Amino acid sequence: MSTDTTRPETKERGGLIELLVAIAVTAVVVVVGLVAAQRQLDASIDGSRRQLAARQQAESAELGLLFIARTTESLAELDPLSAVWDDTPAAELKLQKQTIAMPMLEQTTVDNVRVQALTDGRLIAWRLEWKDPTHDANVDSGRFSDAVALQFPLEPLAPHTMGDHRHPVSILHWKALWQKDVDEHFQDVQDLHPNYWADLYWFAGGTAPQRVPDDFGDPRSHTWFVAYQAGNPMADFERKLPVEELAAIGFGTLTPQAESLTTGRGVWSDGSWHVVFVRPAQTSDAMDYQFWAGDRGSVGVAVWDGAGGNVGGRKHWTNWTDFTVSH
Amino acid sequence: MTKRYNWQLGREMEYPYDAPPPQRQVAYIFDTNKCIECQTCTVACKTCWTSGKGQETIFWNNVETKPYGGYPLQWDTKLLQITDPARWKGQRLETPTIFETDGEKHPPRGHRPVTEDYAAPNLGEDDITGTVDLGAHFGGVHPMWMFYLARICNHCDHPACLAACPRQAIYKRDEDGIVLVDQQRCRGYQECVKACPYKKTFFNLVSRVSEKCIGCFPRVEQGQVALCVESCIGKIRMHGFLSTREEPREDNPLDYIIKIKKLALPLYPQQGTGPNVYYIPPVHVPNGFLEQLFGPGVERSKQIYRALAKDKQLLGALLLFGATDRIITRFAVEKDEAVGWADNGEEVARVPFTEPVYIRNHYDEKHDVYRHNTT
Repeated sequence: MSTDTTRPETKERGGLIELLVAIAVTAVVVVVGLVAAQRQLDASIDGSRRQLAARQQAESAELGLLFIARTTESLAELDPLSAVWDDTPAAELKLQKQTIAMPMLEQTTVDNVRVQALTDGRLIAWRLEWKDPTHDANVDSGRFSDAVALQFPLEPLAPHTMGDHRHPVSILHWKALWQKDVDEHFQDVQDLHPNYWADLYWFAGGTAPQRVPDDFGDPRSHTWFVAYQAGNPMADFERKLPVEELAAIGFGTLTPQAESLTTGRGVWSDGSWHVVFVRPAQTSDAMDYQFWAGDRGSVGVAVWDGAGGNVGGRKHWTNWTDFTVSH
Repeated sequence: MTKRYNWQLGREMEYPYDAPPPQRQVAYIFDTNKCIECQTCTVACKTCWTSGKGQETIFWNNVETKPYGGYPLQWDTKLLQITDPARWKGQRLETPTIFETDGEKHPPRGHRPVTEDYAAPNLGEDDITGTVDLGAHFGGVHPMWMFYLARICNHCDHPACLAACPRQAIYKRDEDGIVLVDQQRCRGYQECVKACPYKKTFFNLVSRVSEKCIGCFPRVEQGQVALCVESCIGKIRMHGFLSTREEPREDNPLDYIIKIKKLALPLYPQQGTGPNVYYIPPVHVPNGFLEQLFGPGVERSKQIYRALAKDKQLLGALLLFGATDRIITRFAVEKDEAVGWADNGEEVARVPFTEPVYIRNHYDEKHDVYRHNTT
């Protein structure tokens, strides 16, 4: 009489389990090995990349190029005043009066702008810093906002004069007014003139002085916000970002882009503006500049000083400055 | 720069753009002798078009007292300070226009008001030229004077706002010459505010773009006069079109009064923008002052105005002011009536030269009451 109580089918299953365990163990060993190898390879590539980047940085220093270094910092929420920028390569650019197209800037009030950029491979962050003793954000008749813009050529040989018909440029623009809209609230009449308002704003809710946009929920009250009704981005009462993406094919052709992946922030401290733009390094938008590792490119900067009456073409600007993106 | 003929200056002048004139040009005649500055026009315009937030001090239509009033503050004296005094040789302007002063690479010569300049639209209202001494009396010539100047956008032939816009966000319509700011394209640079000699483009700090008189284009497209014209209780205004591509027509009241009879004159024509609000100058104001405002035709215009009773055709055209809310494009004098027709041929106004007089008895038998003159 048999004492084996194991059911024959179970015995068979036992064999199967042993086989599966063996396969699993082998797989784990292989995967661990592969991961290790991959890590080793990555380290080796990273090492090579670092070496390459270091050489690239040394070369760009020799050539006077702005070097866009790699970082492991999180760029998405990067503070314009972060200490990270202290160790980031910078280019100090001389600003000129815009005197090519009408209307021209008659007098410079800002001498230089400091430009830096960092990438983590996925995002690219640009930082601009310039001296401006006055914080000009609000706009009114004869009153203008501080602002800064970066331009990148979308075709080789695009002129720095905002491109031309065959050579469009991509532009990133930040305004102190929009920063204040985002940081505080939409800058309304009362933010400049606390004691003036009309007795009646048709179809507005709330009490005087009614605020834009909160008291203007009734669509009929938008009748007199014509630019807003026309979808003009200047009249964005619920602005989420202080920056916008634009494209241009020459003076007077500045066109806001329907889709914008650029974020940014500007901080005014110690008599200087510090503004950061963050954008994906590469996008699928043909009207965006693409930042590829190892590539060389060009950037142009424009600075507006509100107190100096700078607006539109009345701006400080630079010619192209070459940069190279770290391997 | 291109060369364009400016008929108000009797010469060609430089302008950044060339374009054929519109099919017809919207134009207005304001009779300053009839204006009482009731501001009904101002209120009609403001209530309809500029009662939004950010438009508190924007008046597309305003009426100011000359010589001291002005909205925005001192818009005209500041302009005269930065431009050469106009010099005319007959009907031809010898001095440069605002387009010819600073050269091709610069916007038209102009000044940009600040917030405070818009804050007192009535400053100087009803002020006369000087203080009146004790015992002063009228001795045939007014020792002191003032008059009311109603102002809207001039929908100029050669708009300075359009010339100054670096984005070409301002355009002049081909169908009627109305000048508009593209509310989608404007980025609020305020170059137009600076360039317009009449200061009739405005910056809206809520919309953050420029806005201006739209010539009531939705009404014009329906054949109706602008709100400022319809609401004028003094009937000082006429709204219509000037012929642009053909000779002036005798039966077009605007052509007739402005181009044929030359009774109504443009405001500050020396700036060169070809403004299209034409003023019948106030007959009691010295020519020295008026010629600065309206150019060399002032004395001639005054003489025609004083002799209106003898010119039935011209008087007939003037009788049609404020007679209808429709735009009159053809008129005629038929016996003792002036008649106006709209674009579609419909008769829209018939005005007698002499208003009928009805004399009623002191006692009203029907109601068994006595009539009293209580007004």
